[in-house]
Amino acid sequence: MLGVLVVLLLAGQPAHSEDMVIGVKAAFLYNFTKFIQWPAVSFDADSDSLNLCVTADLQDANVVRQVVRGKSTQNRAIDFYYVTDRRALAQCHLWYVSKEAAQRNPDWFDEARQYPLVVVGEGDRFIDENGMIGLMIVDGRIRFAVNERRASTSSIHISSKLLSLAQRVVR
Amino acid sequence: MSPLPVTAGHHRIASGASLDALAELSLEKLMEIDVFSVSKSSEPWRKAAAAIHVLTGDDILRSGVTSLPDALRLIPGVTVAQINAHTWAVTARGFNSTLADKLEVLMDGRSLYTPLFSGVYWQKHNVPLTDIERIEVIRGPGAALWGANAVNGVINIVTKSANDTIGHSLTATMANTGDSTTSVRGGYALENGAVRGYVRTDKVDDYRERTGVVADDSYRSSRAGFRADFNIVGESTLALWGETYRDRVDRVGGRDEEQANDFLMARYAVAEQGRERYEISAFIEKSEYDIPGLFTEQRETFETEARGYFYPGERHVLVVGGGYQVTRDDIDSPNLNSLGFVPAEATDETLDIYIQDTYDLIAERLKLTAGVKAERNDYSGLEVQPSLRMAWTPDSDTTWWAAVSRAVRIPTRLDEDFVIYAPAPAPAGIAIIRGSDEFDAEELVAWEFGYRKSFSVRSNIDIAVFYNEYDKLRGVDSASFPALISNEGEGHSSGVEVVYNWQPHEQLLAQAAYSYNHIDFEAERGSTDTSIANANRNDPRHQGLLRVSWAISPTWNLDVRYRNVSHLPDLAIDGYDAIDASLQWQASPDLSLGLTGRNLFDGQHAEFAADNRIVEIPRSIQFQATWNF
Repeated sequence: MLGVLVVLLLAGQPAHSEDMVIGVKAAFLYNFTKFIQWPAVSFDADSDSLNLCVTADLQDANVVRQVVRGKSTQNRAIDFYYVTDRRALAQCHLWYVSKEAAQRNPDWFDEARQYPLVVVGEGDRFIDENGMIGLMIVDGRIRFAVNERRASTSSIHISSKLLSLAQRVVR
Repeated sequence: MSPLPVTAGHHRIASGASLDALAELSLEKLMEIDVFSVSKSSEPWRKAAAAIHVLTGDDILRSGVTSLPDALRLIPGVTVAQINAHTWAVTARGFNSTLADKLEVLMDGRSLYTPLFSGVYWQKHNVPLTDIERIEVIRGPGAALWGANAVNGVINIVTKSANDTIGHSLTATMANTGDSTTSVRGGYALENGAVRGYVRTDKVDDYRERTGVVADDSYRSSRAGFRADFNIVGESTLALWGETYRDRVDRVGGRDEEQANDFLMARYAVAEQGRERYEISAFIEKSEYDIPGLFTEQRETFETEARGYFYPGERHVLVVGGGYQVTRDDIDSPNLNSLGFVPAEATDETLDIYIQDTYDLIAERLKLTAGVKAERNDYSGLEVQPSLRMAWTPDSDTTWWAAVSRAVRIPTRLDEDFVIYAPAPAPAGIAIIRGSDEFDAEELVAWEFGYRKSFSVRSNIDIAVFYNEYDKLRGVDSASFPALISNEGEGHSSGVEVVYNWQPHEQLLAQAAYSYNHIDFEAERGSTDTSIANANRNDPRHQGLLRVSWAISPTWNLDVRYRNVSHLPDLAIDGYDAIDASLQWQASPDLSLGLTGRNLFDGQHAEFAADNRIVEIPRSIQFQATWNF
């Protein structure tokens, strides 16, 4: 019933609504990068950029690009990549994959496991299947779940601060 | 992406905030953003085909109010009159009284009105205001979806999800009049959700009558409750609520009145991709109302509802639902020279089904909403309440809307079973007025029309016009003995409601609102009733509201309201002006302090009259502190 009054009267979605959802999710992706420690092998030099990769529909990917454009994290600039070929994952540090893209390309996750790559996807169950961080919407708010065990298998350290904010943590 | 004022918790991002600004927010702040409410433009209701207004939790906190009906004063077009220390009369578009029965009032989907007479004991519902997410108000009928009480309006109070109230909080207020409130909340994260528990106590000291006599109306209440929200799997959620409430009200010439109320509620909701799919809910409530020597009501109510959302094609949103309510009461009225209910016990069932289709006739431009509710009740049988609404949005800044609806107020125990006995020294048990099984539902056909326009991100206007035709209004047929409560009246009301919002810069919000309400009711031809014509003038014809909220600095906020309410001739209540102001200071991230003045430039004034008494509402200065720990 929450919000039902407004929802019922307005039923039908104006054009920008999805932009806002993915926009806030993109801000989460950016924030995650501040609380994750990648293994030394992930970067060749201290000046290397952090590569944030997205596999989703183009419109969503563009929203993510807008949000992270010009940002930096842990003294590294963030570079944005729209990934359509699984071999490109080798260059990524954080990879966001939409629900549809994850269903279409299940074999990409085998590729992803070969690298110290933070895999972020959609839904609470994403971390039980393939991912390290699953985004979900609860009561209109974005929440996330973390699979810390899978992250440490890939030598990725997730800070306790991030874990404390997670809705659910698999250790 | 168009410019959006994005509100995340208490933090207002500048109008014109873009996606870039999102990345600047901390994770904690991001977790507070309601992506759906902000996504449909920041105030999606501005495109709705109804006279709707939304008051946010922040609005309430900034205002410094401590009670729910006081918060409703902040909503343009709602008529709020405080009668004495503990009783309020609240309505929209007319019919105000202590028995005001033409609003549907919901908290998290639970009906707050008593089935006894379909009115609300407002003091029973003062949950901690810091836990309120928002209050949505529709002026005008909402019966097609919200049931048989939504004749003149719907008030929907939405509390925060337990996920948004993690942590501990203590709020205390104290006023120079001796009034005080204390509320404590503990919020805890769980594996798949969160829970909060709260306790609130209220104390209001005696007011004074116009004559200067102490009104003997002081009031004490306490409540303890909880809300838990769980994410079951994916986007399905389970929410649980419960509360226990007790109060004690001083009563002139008698022992204290007491009320008690306990309820439990559960709702399971499933969404997909952020869109509602279906939900089921149920609640059980047990209440007791005791006026010693006069009236003792014991009541148990069970209600359940199911609702589904369907999205056939690209352009339809279909909502289908149904509900069942059973309420059982036992009313003991020992004084046969006063009043009573006959029979003393009753079990009433209500069954309803409804359907509403919203059709995007022209995408993003023309929207048609058709709905109908069929409700079967034990008093007037089958009631059908249809409505048709249309919204035309020629551009994203402009909405024209129109609606026609039929709504009814179904009869209650008060209409059919109520008895007034001849007062002493007459022999006990002689009825002089009594209810009648013949009582039909009161009926309304409402015609509404509205216009909203955003002139820029800084200013907008909202205008609604209505014409209501009423029939079968409650009156008294005095041709027989005893006189019968029956459908005696008819008539119409009409009015205009205007709200203008202006934000000259980021730190300053101003709102000006005016409502005009003309009422003309009369007894039907041939009726012997003399009461209905007197209901014409219990509502203010003019109501004005000016509100300015100024964020002086990131930690200081000043909120000032001026309201003007015109006189109520039938109650001999003069019109009045009142100025309230609240200064709020965020002293540290965990401590906020506030100073709130009510009726600043007026020693006291009366707002309503009941039981042949006129009690005046005093000026007060209140100190408030909220500590998060």
